[in-house]
Amino acid sequence: MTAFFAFIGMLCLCLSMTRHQRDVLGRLLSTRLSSGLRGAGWVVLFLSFGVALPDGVLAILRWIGELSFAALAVVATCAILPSWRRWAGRR
Amino acid sequence: MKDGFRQTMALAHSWAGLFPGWLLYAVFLTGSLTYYRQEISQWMRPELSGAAVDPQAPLHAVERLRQIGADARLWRIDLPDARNPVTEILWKGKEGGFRSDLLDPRTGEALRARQTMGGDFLFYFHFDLNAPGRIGRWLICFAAIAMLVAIISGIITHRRIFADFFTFRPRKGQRSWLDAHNVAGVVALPFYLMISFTGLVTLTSMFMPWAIQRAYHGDMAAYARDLAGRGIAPVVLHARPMASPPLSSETVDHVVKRAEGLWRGGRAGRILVDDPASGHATVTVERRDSDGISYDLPWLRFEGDGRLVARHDGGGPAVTTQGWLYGLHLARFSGAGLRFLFFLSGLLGTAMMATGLILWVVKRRPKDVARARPTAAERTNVAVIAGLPIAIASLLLANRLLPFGLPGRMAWEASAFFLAWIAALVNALWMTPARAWIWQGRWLGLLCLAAPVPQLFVPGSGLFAWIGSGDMVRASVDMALVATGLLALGITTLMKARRSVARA
Amino acid sequence: MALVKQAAPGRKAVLNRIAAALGGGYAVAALAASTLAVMLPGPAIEAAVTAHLLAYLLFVLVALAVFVPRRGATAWAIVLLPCAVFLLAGWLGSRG
Repeated sequence: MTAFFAFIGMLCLCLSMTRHQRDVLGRLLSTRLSSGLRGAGWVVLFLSFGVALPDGVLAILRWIGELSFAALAVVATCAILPSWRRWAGRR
Repeated sequence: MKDGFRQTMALAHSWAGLFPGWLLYAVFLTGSLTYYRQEISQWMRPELSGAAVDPQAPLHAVERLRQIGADARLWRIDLPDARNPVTEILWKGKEGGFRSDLLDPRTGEALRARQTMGGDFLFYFHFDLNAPGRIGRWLICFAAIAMLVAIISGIITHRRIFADFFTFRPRKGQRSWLDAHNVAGVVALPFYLMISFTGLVTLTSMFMPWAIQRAYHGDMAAYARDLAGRGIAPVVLHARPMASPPLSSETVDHVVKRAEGLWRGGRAGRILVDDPASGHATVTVERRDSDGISYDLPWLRFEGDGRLVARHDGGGPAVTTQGWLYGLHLARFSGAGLRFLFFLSGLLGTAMMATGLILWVVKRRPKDVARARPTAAERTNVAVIAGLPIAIASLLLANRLLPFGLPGRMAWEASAFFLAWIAALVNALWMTPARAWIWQGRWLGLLCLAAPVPQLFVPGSGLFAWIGSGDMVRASVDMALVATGLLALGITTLMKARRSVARA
Repeated sequence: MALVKQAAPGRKAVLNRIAAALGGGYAVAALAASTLAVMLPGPAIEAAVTAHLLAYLLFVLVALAVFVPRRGATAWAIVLLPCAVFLLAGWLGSRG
């Protein structure tokens, strides 16, 4: 569960940046939407921490690891998505 | 001022990063595998498939020790657990000298398995490098300091560390390698900071012994005793009795169960019996290291008649902190999920080092690639980045191919590891790096795919038999080998295709 | 602030910093560990462990700091100053 939240949070943070909006979505989002995404991203990440916290130190260690690989998953997704879009656009 | 710092640091990181990079690549790769060293050890002793944990293990172990080590001065029993389902016994003879054996936890019978270091070979290599004396450990410690400096200065000087956090631009040559190095480096930052600092803590008695030397006037043994809580007057709960009857296995079993009760469900990991033959035997039960994060293990000591005489529940603040740091590095406490996350983080660190090394070479490639002479750095990169995995795969294959009763078998397995690595080095020196990468990628793939094969010819053993009998540990190692082999061959084929396109 | 862009440091300069960072840093850490082990209060085991854990932190701090100054000589000052401080503290402690 926390891993999923971590992924969503990281995705929001990623898409709040214009550089990635261009590459992944093909267009820029409004500044309001970007700021909103950034805020939402941080909130979701804190929520995922909050879910892990009651389960103790081991859960927090797991949370840190899940954060790292959520970020990696977002990087991978953003790297592949433009190619998928191009491939879908050509069909 | 920050500009000068940034420039000098950047130069130190890039220019001087080559040698520590090779070193740390080896440390991270073998270190990542060490998270699964018990599993690898099980795989390397296929004869023991079917061994299982048993609550009667202490009873059987003591029975066995009474048969073969009745007059010993010290008995040590390492109890089995899910990741290592064998009982290991050790006894110290009257004249000194240790002997050890592996037992089936359910019967106490000695297990006959091929002589091998198992996963412990990779464990030792990752902090020792099998170098002469302590050179390996000293180099690794300095490399760890360099890594901490590189990470922290990287955080300070990386101008757009948040903006660049998710940036990865594929298929852009040098740019892509830089992005990969940055992503790998930043995404698991907390892990890298933790693992390098805690690694230093584990090697303190060699690298930074001066505090101990000064406080204990050079008496390292006294330090070790104090650290385990055996030196400071332990809480003595009863005066020692005159003499008790000789130690029986039932007493030891009873004592272990009492200890686990006193720890409210905590598990016993190791049993130490002092002077078992005398009438003054004491039994010390140490708590299992996977029960808690800290390596400062609680213990309980009982007299031969079963009465509790001393206990250690943890040291003072500094000892507890060190226990936590040490424990974090070994990660014995981690369950399957967390262990896998640690393992992946280690692999990411390995990738960070590898991409950095490749970036170093790519940055310095002259414009006219076709006519350029390959540098020593390029060749060493192949020998290290591809060579080490080849050496590891060769170790595993040698474990399968070397005869069961071969004398000096452990040394032969180690030789296979080093000879394979030397062969990779020779190949890297002889061929151009471009061709060497492809050759070694293919060799790695073939070795990994070959390793599970020999056991298939042993009845009741091998990948399919293990899946059938539920031995998922050994099956998983086999499957990991197959996956790695296919991945290596796949990447190599992609590399070859891209090179042919480039040349056309 | 410098009005002229600083030239990139040469290899010898970088080697000098690395020597100060690793060699000098080690010296500071070793002296710190040794001195703190006897100066810190409490049982020997607590003092010793606190001392070498702090020494490691100091090692990394000094190794980082050594790269900050513009001149290489100043980098060595960053090493020698803490060494002198610990030596002095140790000497004063043994006399008092």
